[in-house]
Amino acid sequence: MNINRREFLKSSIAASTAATVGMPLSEQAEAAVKAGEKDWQWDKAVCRFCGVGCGIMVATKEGRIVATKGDPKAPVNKGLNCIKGYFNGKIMYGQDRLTQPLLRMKDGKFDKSGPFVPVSWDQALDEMERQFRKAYGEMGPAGIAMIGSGQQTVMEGYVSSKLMKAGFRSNNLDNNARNCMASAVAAFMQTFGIDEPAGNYDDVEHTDTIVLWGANMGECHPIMWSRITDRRLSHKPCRIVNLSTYHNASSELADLEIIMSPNGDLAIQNWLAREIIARSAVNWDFVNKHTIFAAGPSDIGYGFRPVNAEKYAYAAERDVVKNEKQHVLDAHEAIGQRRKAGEAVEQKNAATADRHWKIGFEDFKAALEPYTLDYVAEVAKGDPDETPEAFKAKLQQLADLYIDAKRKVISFWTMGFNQHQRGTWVNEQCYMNHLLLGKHAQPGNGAFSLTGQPSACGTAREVGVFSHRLPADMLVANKKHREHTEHLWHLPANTLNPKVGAHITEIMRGLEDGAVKWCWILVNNPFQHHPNANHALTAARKGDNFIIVSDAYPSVSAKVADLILPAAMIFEKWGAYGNAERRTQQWRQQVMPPGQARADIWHMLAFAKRIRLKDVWGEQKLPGLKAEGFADGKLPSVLNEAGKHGLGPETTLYDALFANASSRKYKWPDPIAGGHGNHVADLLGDGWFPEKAMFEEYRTFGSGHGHDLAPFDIYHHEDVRGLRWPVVEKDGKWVETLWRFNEKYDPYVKQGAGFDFYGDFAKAIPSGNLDGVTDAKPVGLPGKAKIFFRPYAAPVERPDANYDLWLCTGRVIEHWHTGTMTRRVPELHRAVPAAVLWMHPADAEKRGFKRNDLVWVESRRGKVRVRIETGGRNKMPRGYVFVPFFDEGVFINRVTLDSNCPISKENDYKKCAVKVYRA
Amino acid sequence: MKFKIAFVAAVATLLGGGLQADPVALMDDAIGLSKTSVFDDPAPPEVAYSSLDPKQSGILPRFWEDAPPQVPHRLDKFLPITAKANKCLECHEEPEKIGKKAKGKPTPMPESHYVKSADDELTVANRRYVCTLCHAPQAEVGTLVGNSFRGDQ
Repeated sequence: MNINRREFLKSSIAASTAATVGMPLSEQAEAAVKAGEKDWQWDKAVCRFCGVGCGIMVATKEGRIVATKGDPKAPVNKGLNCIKGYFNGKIMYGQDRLTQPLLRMKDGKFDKSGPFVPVSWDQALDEMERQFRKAYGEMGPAGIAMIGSGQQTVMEGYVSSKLMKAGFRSNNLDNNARNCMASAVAAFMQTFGIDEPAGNYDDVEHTDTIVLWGANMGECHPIMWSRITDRRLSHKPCRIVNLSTYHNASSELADLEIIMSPNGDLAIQNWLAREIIARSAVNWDFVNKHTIFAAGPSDIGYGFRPVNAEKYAYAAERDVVKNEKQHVLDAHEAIGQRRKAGEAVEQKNAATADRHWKIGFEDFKAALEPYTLDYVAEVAKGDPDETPEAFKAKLQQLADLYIDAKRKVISFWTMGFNQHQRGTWVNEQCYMNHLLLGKHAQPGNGAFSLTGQPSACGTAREVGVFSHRLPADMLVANKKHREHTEHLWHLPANTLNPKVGAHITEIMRGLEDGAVKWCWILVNNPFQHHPNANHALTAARKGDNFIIVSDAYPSVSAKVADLILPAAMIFEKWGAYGNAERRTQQWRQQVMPPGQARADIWHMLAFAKRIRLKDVWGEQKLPGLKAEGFADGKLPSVLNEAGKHGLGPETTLYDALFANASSRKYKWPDPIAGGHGNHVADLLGDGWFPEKAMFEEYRTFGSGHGHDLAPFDIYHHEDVRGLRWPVVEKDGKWVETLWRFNEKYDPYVKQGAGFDFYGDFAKAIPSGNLDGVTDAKPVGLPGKAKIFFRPYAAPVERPDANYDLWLCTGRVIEHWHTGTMTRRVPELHRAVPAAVLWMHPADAEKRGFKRNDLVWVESRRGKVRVRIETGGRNKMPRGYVFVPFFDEGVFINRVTLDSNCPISKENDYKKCAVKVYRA
Repeated sequence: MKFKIAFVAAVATLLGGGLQADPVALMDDAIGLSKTSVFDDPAPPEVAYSSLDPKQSGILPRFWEDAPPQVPHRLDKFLPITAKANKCLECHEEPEKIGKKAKGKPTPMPESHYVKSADDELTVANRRYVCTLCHAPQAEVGTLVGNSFRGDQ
């Protein structure tokens, strides 16, 4: 077939069989398939991997999974899976599945320096309890921590939050989603007052323009990419732009590729805004009705330790971490921040980086004035082999696409924006441009933050499994939010701890500096994925602490733990995930976990049986606590008040918080199971259905204020393939919401408003100008979004004569995160057996390397050996290298930098300085 | 189980009477994907993919019915797939040969990969256009850990 003929056919599909992924099987083929599967039991489920949230079908026979396939009824993927997705069943059958608890022992007793010895669950929980009592007794709620995951089920996240926050009264609960999309959350909260995207995946099929900002969707969101491919091939006007620091898989379908410098995105966004104003393209009707302008401080630090940063730094790290106190502006920053080059700026707002205030449009416009095309090209051009003229022409094309009034535009981003030292800012800048143009919250028009993990939204964000959060966007530091939570959880007043806890970086650093003595890690491998890993690895093995890892396989984190608890995997338990388009999807247990492996929810409930109210609800010290209604430095005893609720000091947390009267209304067995088992309910053996009870209790947080979920059973209905919240009951039906904040689609929008950004967080702020607050009196801005001015800031660590290359890390399509599941699937392992270092051929040649040579890549923090790749899927500009992070053998997070966005606390894995030399 | 097993002396029984001896103990460098201590930096293996042209490569065994076939031949000559060019389809898009694989000839894409255009002609479904979303080559390396998934066998 010639190319023109094919082009014609591709675009003519839209008219006939739009949005299918292939023809249905012929009757004959269908019959043959059915005959081969006659004793299989198929059930719907969800993919274990990325944030796209594809529906899959799982087939079981005689207690084993025999097949999985894309679910043809799932609107997300319509039967298609990516290469990982096809192996959802196989990831559970690696031969080194953990099947019994393992405790480090010598001479029959726990010993931190001992090898792992198989023990019973009772012995495991005994030691865990002993160590908990020791750490809690010595340090109170601040001395313990738990790290969860955007891969936990909604119910697991909810139980972890209730156990830590209501039970142990500790807010040291955080998760890997902090390193995935915390910047997106912070920007949603500051801009709209409520978390998560306005739009949904259907935007792809409505839009004319897809702009990727630091999102290699071609590898990291493959099924979304297949939808985008479809749109590009079938809708003639469709254009794809890929803004990236290197040429990647997504560039191949892009009509326009813009290679930018690290942090160059901050400058490009401001140029776009300046251009929108210069071309008189501001949608003033939208802007006046629905937005205000805002600004914040720029002296916010880089997320290093606020105290003792230099004490715990290796000698080579000190010159970088000292920027936490004082940063010297370079020439580019000076222009973008309207200050003097070489000025040493005290980072006074490091602890108050989220402060912001209302400004006028004239101030906003003045702030953008320095972001001329010449200046931005100088700052943001990422390929030294591209001419400034060529780069400027591309920026002009980008502006043309955004500004064209007839064109719908979706901006997508993921880790390029989120894992960014100014991640919150750059997220907000994307909203800035969409709001200025009035292209937001409409089909095919909007700024759309994607997520990386299958339930980063559903669990981490919506349940609030973070050190500062409670369910449904509520905050531990907000008195009203605590009171509401205490009411829903039937807790005595002031049970909840009002002090924001340690985020994941603080927990990992806390293991090193002794602030955290007992740390429980679930569904997560932070010792491999957290940046600057050498500190934490040493702290875990040599420090005075006790680390528990609940996992299915012996990951790096399990290897450095003191106690490993064997966990059930996804289809061995009941669960729910929430994807990036607000779609909550549930599945049933399909098979039993192997050996003594058990679901994480059982791990937590079993431990909750061992802790009594007298252990945790008495007076607890909490150094540094200062909050209205609390004595300084301590949490009050709530035991007396608990007694009035019928909860005595000997009541266990299991009975008080989980298996209480309202939970026991949800009985196991339950007809919704349709013959499927529940090993958690069976092991507990007291007749309740924990996953259902916890989901129903969790729902009460969101109902009635914009986070509504349908009842548990609705999601299990045969015809339902997840529902996008808010899911509101209308005429006896549960109806999902496609575009939030838009009157046509969102039942929460006031009638006649058109658009209504009704989120209520930070909706009364002071007023000021670009230099600061001039009137502290809060101004209310109900229903409005904020258009932020955020300046350019340079990366804190940049290549120099010694460390002369930029390093970026990320994913490959074949592997999931740290590879603990996908590397145990031989087909996926053989597809990409080891991480390589992608480098420009000229950079390799200059150093005398050829493809496959073994080299060291070294930063101020550590070094690893890796092989050189100069071809393949990524093409690096000169001066820039990329290494994926899935491979524990090429442990690249020994090298990466633990600098984070001071607002979101999300680490920047996308830019640090390294050198590469022959091994 | 390929764990390196260290037998720990049964000293405990001598000391504690009722205490049990540790039956088996697992060293850190005996478990996981990398059989090394987390403080070691192993040298990654050199990895080679098939350099055979499609005509010479044969096909790779398919693990189970719904698993996407792996790519048996070299890919370097055929990628990238762009909006304008897809070298995979030049050989594998053969709607008239669906289900009729001939030895030494390309595997025709199955029925599921096509849609009917307005004039009833079969063409590849756009969502399946980027073949590498599902189909990958296989390097000649061993497995890190065995896998007991066996489908319906």
